[in-house]
Amino acid sequence: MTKPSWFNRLSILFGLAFLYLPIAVLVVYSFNGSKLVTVWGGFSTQWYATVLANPSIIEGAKVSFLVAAVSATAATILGTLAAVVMVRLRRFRGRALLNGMLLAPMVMPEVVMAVSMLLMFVTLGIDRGPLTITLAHTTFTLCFATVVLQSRLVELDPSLEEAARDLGCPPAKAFVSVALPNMIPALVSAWLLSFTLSLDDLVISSFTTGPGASTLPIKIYSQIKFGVTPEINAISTIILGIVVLGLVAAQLVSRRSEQRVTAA
Amino acid sequence: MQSYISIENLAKSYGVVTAVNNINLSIEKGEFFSLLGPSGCGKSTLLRMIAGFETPTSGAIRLEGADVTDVPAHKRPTNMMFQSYALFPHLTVGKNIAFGLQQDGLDKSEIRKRIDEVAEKLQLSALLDRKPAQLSGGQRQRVALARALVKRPKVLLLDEPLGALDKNLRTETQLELVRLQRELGLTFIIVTHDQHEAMTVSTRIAIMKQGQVLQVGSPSEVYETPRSRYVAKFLGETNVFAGGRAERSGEELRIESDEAGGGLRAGFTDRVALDQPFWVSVRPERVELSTSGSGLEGTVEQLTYTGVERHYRVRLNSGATLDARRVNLGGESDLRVGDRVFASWPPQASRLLAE
Repeated sequence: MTKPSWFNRLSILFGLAFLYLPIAVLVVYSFNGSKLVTVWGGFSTQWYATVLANPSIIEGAKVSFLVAAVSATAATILGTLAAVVMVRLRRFRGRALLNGMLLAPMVMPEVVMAVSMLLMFVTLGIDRGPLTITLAHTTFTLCFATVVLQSRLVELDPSLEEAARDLGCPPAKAFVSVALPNMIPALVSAWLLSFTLSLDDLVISSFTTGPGASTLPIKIYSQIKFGVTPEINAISTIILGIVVLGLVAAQLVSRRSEQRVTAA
Repeated sequence: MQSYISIENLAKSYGVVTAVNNINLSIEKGEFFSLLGPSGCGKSTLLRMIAGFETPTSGAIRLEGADVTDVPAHKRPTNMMFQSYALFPHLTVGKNIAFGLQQDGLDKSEIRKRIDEVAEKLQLSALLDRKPAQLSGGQRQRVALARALVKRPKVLLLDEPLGALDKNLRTETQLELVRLQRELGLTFIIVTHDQHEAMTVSTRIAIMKQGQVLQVGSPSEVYETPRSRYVAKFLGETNVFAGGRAERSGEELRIESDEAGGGLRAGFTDRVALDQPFWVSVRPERVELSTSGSGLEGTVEQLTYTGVERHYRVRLNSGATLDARRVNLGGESDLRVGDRVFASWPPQASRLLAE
């Protein structure tokens, strides 16, 4: 290993500062004792207490977690099916097109997706509420879940399922009893990824929301209109903590599965 | 007579690519049958059709007279040992072996009994609680074999089963496979590209090329009397010379060969049409080299010592090369590079080959 030069060290420092300084400031000020956001008034956890006592915020959190859990589950199930089609059926008409269409939402402007979903719900006459947000979140997290699952399925030896069939197992049961158990780490990380993406989404949520279905990010955004309060800092820090935990867990799970693959 | 397995006019094509082209084979009960050929010759596709993983484009597969062509893999009385072994990584060795029996709905005590039986036969008893990742290559190979054998299949299919083993273990395992097959009296069909392996284990070999079977026979039949240039060259090494005008005298043929630069003698045969292009082949171990006498004249160009044998490469006066071998019986070679030699062999050692 080569020793990093002072230049390398400096560029890493600047890079990290650029990325994380704003977040660090947010976290630090969430423990601010003062009512003024930009003036330090000593260490205090009072804003966390205020947040937890605020029924509107708690209600928003409930909606957010429910939407995230349901849409992550749906995205993982649909993503598994999509990944199986893409990986197992190597050659079929329109494969390249389908692959592109599965991945396009990753780079598609969120506003475009949000508007199109809003239009669709209005056209179909579906009342906007928790259901529409959940459907919309399933749609936009699906491509991320598919990518994670696809990369795992590519590594999985297709003769595993053939061996199961050869030993007397019907095809569908062979997939469930042999392929799925070996995909658990990928399923977990796809679910966690979808969950965190859904949890902090604002654009798509605000377009597809309706009465009684305000997610936490929507609540935060509407509060900010009246100015940033230290309370917002506290909520943001809590969400940040949950997202970081989710991402770290997803990373750990997928790394463990990689180690198992290399050991095998 | 009804064959145990009969493959009738079997063909498989993927779009415009023909993988298996109109194959007919009969395999008897208790045979150790090899499908031998280079990669892409269709041997694996043929095996996978017998297993039920691929649906033939046309033709039929019969097992003890019953048409199984449309029976799905999980309902066929065949079991396969995969090239990658395909052991289930999330299950222990014991559960891997039990998997097939559980699908059959056997009760626990029966499953236990059958696992113990097969584990003992394949020296796996001490490994039943390990995961596949904790096993060596040879151990994994035995688990894969046990998992297929425990189902007591009518036919065991082996897809390049020893490809991942090193050479010494491979030879050992080949002999072990033959012993097992005799002991159990099962029918084995093995796919391999290794002619040594095919010769070592098989009762009969089918040599395949471009989706077709060129010749079927016992190892000595296909080695001693190959019918085509391709088969002769694929099985072991051989010297091949294009034949010219041929003259028959009694049971012997005298063939002019410009390529060899002289007359070649061969036993008469009516299996090869002499008015079509044909070739004369002779195995290197049948060629005798001497410093005086008669035969094809040439110069020793290369001398290789392999321990068991000495290999001589002779540049004939015609410009063609001829390989000869001598078993090492001790002592030094009396021939050196640059020596003038005469190459000869008995007429029965010559084989006439069609394209």
